Amino acid sequence: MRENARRKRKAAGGIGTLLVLALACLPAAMGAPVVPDAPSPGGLLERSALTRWESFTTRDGLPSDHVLAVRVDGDRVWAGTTEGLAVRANGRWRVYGTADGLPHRVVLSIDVSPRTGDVWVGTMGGLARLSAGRIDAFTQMSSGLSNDFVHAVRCDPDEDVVWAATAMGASRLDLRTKTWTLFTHENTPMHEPWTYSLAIGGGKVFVGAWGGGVLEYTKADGHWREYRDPDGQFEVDLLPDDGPINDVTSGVDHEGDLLWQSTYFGLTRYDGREWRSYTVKDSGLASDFINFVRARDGLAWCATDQGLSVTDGEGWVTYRRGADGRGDILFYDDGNPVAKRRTATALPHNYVLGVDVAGDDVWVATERGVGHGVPGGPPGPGRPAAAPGRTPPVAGMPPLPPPGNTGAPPPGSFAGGRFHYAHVPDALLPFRSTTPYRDLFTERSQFRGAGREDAEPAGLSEVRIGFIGPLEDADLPARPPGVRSGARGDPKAVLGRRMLRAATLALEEANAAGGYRGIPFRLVPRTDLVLWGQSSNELVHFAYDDRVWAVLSSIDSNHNHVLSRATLKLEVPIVSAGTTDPTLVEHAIPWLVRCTIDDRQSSYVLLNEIFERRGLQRPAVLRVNDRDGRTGIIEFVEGARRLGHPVLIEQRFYNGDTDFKAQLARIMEVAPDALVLWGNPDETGRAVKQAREMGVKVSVFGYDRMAQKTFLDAAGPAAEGVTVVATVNTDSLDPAWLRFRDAYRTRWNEEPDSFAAHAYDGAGLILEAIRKGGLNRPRIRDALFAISSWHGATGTIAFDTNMSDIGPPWLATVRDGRFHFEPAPAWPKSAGPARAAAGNRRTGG
Amino acid sequence: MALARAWWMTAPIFGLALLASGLGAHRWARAHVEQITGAPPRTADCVACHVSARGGTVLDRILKPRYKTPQDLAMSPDGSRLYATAEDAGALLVIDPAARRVLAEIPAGRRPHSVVLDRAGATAYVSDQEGDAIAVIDIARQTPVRRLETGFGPAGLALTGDDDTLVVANAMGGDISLIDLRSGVERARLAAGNEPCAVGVEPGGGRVLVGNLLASLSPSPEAPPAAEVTVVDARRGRIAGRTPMRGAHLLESVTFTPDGGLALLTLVRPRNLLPVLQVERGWVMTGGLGVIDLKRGRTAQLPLDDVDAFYADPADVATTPDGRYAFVSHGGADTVSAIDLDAVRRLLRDTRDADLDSLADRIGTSRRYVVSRIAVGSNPRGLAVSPDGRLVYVAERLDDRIGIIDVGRMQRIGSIDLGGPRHETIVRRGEKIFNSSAATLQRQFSCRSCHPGNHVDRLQYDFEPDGLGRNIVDNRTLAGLRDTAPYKWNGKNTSLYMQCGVRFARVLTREEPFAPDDLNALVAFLYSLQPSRNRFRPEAGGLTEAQARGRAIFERAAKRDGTPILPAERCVTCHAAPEYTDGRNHDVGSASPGDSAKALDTPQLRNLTLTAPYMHDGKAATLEQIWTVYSPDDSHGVTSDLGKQGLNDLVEYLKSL
Repeated sequence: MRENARRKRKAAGGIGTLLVLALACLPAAMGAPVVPDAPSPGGLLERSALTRWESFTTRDGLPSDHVLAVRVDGDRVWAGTTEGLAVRANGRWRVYGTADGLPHRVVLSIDVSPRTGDVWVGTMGGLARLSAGRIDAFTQMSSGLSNDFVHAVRCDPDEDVVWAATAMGASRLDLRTKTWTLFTHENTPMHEPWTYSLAIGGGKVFVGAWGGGVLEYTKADGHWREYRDPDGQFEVDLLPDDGPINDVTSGVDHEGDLLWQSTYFGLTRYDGREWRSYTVKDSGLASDFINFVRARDGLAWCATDQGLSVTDGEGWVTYRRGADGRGDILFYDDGNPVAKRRTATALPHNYVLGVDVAGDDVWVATERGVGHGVPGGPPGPGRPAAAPGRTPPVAGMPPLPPPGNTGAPPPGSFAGGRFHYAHVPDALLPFRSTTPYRDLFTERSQFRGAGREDAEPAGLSEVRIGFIGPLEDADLPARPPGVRSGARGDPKAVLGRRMLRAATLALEEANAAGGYRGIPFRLVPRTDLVLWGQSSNELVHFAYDDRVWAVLSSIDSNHNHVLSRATLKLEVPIVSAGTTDPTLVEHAIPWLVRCTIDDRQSSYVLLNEIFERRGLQRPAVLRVNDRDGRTGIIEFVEGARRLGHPVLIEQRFYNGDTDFKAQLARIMEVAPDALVLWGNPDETGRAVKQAREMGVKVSVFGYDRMAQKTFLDAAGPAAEGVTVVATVNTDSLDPAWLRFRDAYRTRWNEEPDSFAAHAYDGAGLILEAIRKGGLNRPRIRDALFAISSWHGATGTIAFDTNMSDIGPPWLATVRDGRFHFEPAPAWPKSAGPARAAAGNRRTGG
Repeated sequence: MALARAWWMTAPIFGLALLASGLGAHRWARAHVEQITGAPPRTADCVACHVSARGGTVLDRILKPRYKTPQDLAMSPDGSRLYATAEDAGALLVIDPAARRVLAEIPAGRRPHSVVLDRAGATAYVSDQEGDAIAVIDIARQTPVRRLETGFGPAGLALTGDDDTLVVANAMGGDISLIDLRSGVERARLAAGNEPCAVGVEPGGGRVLVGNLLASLSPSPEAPPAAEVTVVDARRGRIAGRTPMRGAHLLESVTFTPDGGLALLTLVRPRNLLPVLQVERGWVMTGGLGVIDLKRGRTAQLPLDDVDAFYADPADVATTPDGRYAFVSHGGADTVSAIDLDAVRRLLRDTRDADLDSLADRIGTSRRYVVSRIAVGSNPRGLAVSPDGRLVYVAERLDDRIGIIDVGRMQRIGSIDLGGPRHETIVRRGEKIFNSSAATLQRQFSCRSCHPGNHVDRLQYDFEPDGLGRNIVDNRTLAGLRDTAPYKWNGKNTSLYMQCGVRFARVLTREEPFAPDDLNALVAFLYSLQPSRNRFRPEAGGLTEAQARGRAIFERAAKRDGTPILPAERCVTCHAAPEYTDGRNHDVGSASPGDSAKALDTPQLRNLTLTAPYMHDGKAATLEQIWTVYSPDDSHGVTSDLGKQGLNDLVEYLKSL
C-alpha cells in the first residue's frame, strides 16, 4: 500500500505511469480503506539518533584530513587517507605509508578478513595485505591483479578468497593457490570493465560496475547475471522502482536478502524480487550524489556529498554539518520531513566518502577528517500516525535543498515540459511520448568537497599542467621505469603528437605573456599507449608525483573514462580535448570538461542531413570495432530508429584492416541509400575507395575523424561527394583560427588539424581557469565550470550542463579533392517521425 | 651376506662392461663420456649418469633401495616409546628405546616429515609433505585412522595446549593451517613467511611460533636476508606478530624452554652477497641459535660455531625437562651441540638491548654457552629428550639409526638400528657427501646449506672473484636437473662433473676437490633428484582452462593480430619440453650492468612457484615482473600484445609445469 501511495505521488504521465495510477486508485475505488503502514517496532525513526560527534584530523595523528575510506575492526578503526593508512587503537592513531610497504599513499578501500583478521587495502597503486604488521603488496606489474587503481576490496567470509574492484575489471585472488582470476567485459556480461564496488553475501558476489549497473556472480556455479537500468538512457530516469536507478554504480552492499546500490543519481534497493529507488525527490536522502553505501543491521548508510543519510527503507535520517559547526539531524518518513534536531557537534564535513558501523557507533570518512557518531538523547520522532497522504512538513523545517548550482546558468532547454539535454532535437528525445520520472543532467554538477580554502603553495618555480594522450616514445621525455609501451605505430599517435604540440604552443604563448604571475607554465606529458589501462596510474602520477594543477587529455574514450573515475578521488580538473564518446560526461562527476563536440552532436547533424534534408531512408553503418566506434554510433542508431528509419545493417572492421569488401558486400545486400562510416581516416578512406570500385553509389557520410587529409589520400577520387561532420572548419577565416594556424605552422612546420586545435583550446581553458582560480585544484575546477562558452581556435565552444561542447559543428563535403565546410543546418522544428519510439534501450556494440 | 648380494646385483653390469670392452666399445665409451661431461673419463662412470631420475628401472631398484631415512622424532609422555618419521619408507616407526628395537612401521603417506603426539600419547599426527595431508595414527591400533587435508607441503606441526587445534606449517604453500581436531575442519589458513617449516608451542598453549625456512623476498636486492618467525594466536585464529630474523634464514626448528621463558630456533646466517672467496675468512655462512624472549620482546642470534671449527646446518633443537640444556643437531657436521641455557640467560641479561644484534657475529662467544660437541652418526636431524632428561635421541638420518646420547656424560652411548638396507648404494653415498660439510674449509658448509631439501635457498650469491657486486647469480634448484645441462648461469659447465669439479673446490669449498669416487657418487645423487609433485596440475590430468589458454600463448607462432612471431621469439623455442630448456645461452636483455655475460643459460621451468625470485640474478620477485618490468621491448619472448588476462594465463601455465 505504501508502495502504491508512493508511486501515486510520483507518477506524472505516460503509459507506465498511468498504469501505476490506476493500480493506486483501485483500492479507494473499491471502497477499501487506505491506511498507512504501521511503524515497525525498533524502526529507524524509533531509535536514538547520532547526537554526539567527535572528529579526528591531522591534529589527532591522521596523516591527512582527506579520508577516503573507514572500516571498523573490533576495537580498532582503520582509515584510508590520501597520505596513507591509519589505524586507531587504544586511543591513538598509527600510520602506515609507502615506507612501510604500502604500494601507494592513497588508500581507497579497506576490508578486514573475518577468517584471518588480515586487513586488505585497496590503493591507487595496487592492493595490499596488512598482516600483523607486515605489508604484502600486489600490483598489476608484480601479480595477477588486473589494475592498480583498486576502488574496492572485499574478503569472502566463507572461503580464503579476496576480491578487488579495479579500474580494469574485478580480480579474485585465491589465497590458497595464489591464483588470480579476472572478470571483465570479455568473460562476463559486464558492459564495461570499470568496476567500482563489491559486496559478498548469500553465496553471491556483487560487482558494481561503472556504466554497467550491478553484476551478480554466483559462487556455486560461476554464473554471472547483470542488473541494468531498464530505461537504458543516462539522461532520464523513466520510472521509479523499475530496476537499478542508473548504470553508473558508485557502491553496492548486501545484507540479509537485500542488495543496495548507490549511484550519483540516487539509491536502489533490491530484495530479490522487487526494486525500489530513492532520490532526493522522494526520500530523505541528503543528496543523489552518493559516494558509498554500507548495509548494517537492516539499515543502509549513504555517504553523500551533502551529508550522511541512513534508511531502513521507509524512514530516513540525515546528518549534516551546519555553517556554524553544529549538527542538523533531519528525520523523514516516506519522503516527508517529520522532525529536525540540532546538535552541538557534527560530522567533520558534509562531503562523506565512506561509512562503517559497529553496534551503535558510526564512523565516517570525510574530506576533513574521520567522524565518530554515537547515539544519545531521546529517540527519534517515531513514525507519525498521520492520515493517509502526504505528511505535513514540520513547521520551521526547511526542505532539503536540491543539488545546487553555484556556477554559471546551465545551457539546455526546457520545451514542452521536457528538459532537452544537450539540446537534443524534439524528434530525437528518448521516450518523447511520455514524461520521465526524472530528467537528469538538468543542472551543472557541483563539487561540494573541501579544499577551496587551501592556500596557494609558495615558492613554486613552475606551474605544471599534465598532458595525456597517445604518445609514442619519441614524444615522451622518458618512459617511466617499469612502464611498457603498449603499442607501436598506433594510428592515433600522429594525432596525439599534434595535440601535444598544440598544447605546448599554448603554454609557450602563455609563458611569453608572463606565465602565472611570473611563474612559467610547464607541460608534463604522459602516454596512454600503455598496457592494461594504466592511464589511471598515469593520472595518479600526475596528481602525486608531477603535482600538476590540471590535466589535458586526448582521444581514447576508454582512457578518458578511466581518468574521469579516477579524478573523482584524485580531484584533479581534466579537460578532455579529443574524445567524442557521448557517454564520457554522463555521470555527474564534477571534475571533467570536454571541449570538443561529441558524437551525440555529430549524430544529430548527420540525422538531419541524411533523413530531413536529403530524404534518404535506408541507412547502413560501417564502423571500427572498438569502443570509440561502438559508442560513437549509438546516438545515430537510436536517432535513426526514432525517426522511423532504423539502420538496416551494421558492419564492423578492425583498425589496420585494408580489405572491406566482405563488409561492403553484406551491406549492399540490403540495398541501402546511405552509408555511414565511423572510423579512423585511413581505414574509412580505403573503405570508400573500395565501395566505389565495387559500384556502390549510395551517399556516404561520416564523423569527424574522417575530416582529415589522410582520408582524402586514402580514398582518392572516390572521396568526392562524401559528407562528414567536422568539429573544426580548417578553412575558417575566424581570426582566432588563423592566428592559431599560423603560429602552429611557424612553431612546428606542419599543418594543424582539428585535434591540434581542440588541444590548443583545451590548454587555453585550463590556463584561463588557473588564472582565475589560482593554484588550487577545486578553485580551478570552479573556474572551469563557470565557463559557459569560449571562443578559440575551434570556434565557439558552448558547454551544456555536463560541461560538454555542444557546438556548433560543421558539415564538410568533399568536392574537387578537398573539404568544403558549411555550418551544420538547423534541425527543422517539424522534423520527426509519425511513430513514437518504444524500447529505446541502447544496444551497444 | 650384504657384499654377496651387492655383487650378484651388480655383476651383470660388470659383465656388460667387460663385454663392451672386449668388443672395442671402450674407446667409444671414453669419447662418449668426454663429450657429454667435458671431464676426463677417469672421473665419471656409467652408473652416475645412467641412474634414472624418474625411477622404476632395474638399475634404480638396485641403486636406490628403500632406506628408512629418519627425519623427526617424538617421545611418548612416559618415555616408553620413541616415534620416528621415516622419510624414504613413507612410514612412522614405533621404537622401544629401552629394547633399542623397532616395534612397528605404520604407513604415514608419501613423504612423512614431522610427527607430534597428543598429551595422552594415544594419537600421532604425521605431516605428509608430498601428500598435502596429516596422517592421524591410532597408536594402540598402530594404524592410520584419519587423513586431514592441509595446504601444500606440510612440514612442521604442533598441538595447542588443549590438543584441540593442530597447527601445520605448509612449507610449499607459504601458509599455516589451523585444524580443529574435533571436526577435522581447517578453521583458518593464515599467511606465513617464506616456506614455513617449524612449529613450536609456548608452554601453556599460548602462542605458537612458526619458523620459516627461507628469507622473505625483499624488494631490495642489497638487503640482507631475513627469515620470518610468525607468531600465531591459535585460539583466535590470528597472526599475532611477525619477527624478522635479520641476516638469518633456514629456521628449521623451534622449541621453547620448559618455563616458556625463551623460544629457541635453529638458523643459518648467510653472507651471500659477499664474494665467496671470503670462505677463507669464515665469513660466508655461520650456524646459530635464535633466542626470543617473548615477554620482554628481545631477540638475539647466538653463533654455534667456533672460531676455527664450524658446525654446519643446525637442524633441530630440543631442551631437557629441567630447562638446563638445549641440544642442537648439526646435519652437516655429524655433531650434536649441548648448550648451557643458564649461560644463555646470563648472556642475554648482561647484554644491553642495543648490543643484542652484535652477538650474532661474535663467533667466539659460543664458548660461553656451548658446553659440549658430541659426535653422532651421519646427517643428524630430529631430536627427542627422554622424560627424565637423562637421554637424548637423535635421528642419524643417513645411517638409518637413532643415536643415543647420555646427557650426564655428554656422549653418544649407543644407537638403535632402524632396519634399513645394509649396503650403501652410490646414490646414498652421494647423499651423504651432499649433506656433509667435510669437503669444505673448516667444515663451514655443505651442499645442503645452499640447497635445503635438495632444492634451493632462493638467495643470490656473489660467486666470482671479480669484485663486490659483479655477476650476482640467483641460486638454482637441484630438483630435476639431470637433463638440463649445461650448468651455471653462464652455461660454462657442460656437466655436473665440471660443475662440482676442481674449480668448484678452488672457488667455493677451498679444500681438496672431491675424490673421483666421491664425485661420481655426488653426481649420481644429484641426478636422482626429482621435482616435487606440481600442485597446480589438476589431479584428474589435463590443464585448467586458464592453463590451456596459457599453453597456447606459450606455444604460439603469431601475435593476437596475426603478426607472425619468429621462432627465436617464441617461449617454446628456448623452453622446450620436456625439461623446458634448450640447453643453450640466449641474450634476452636481462643482463645487469655488473654482468660479464649477456647471453645466459636457459633455465628449466619445473615447479616455478618454488623457485622465486626469478631471472639469473633474482631481480624479478614474481613471474609477472619478468615481462612487465624486465622485458619492456619483448626481448624475452613476445608478450607486449597480451592483455592482462593473457599474461595471467601464461603465468598459470608456467606454474603448472
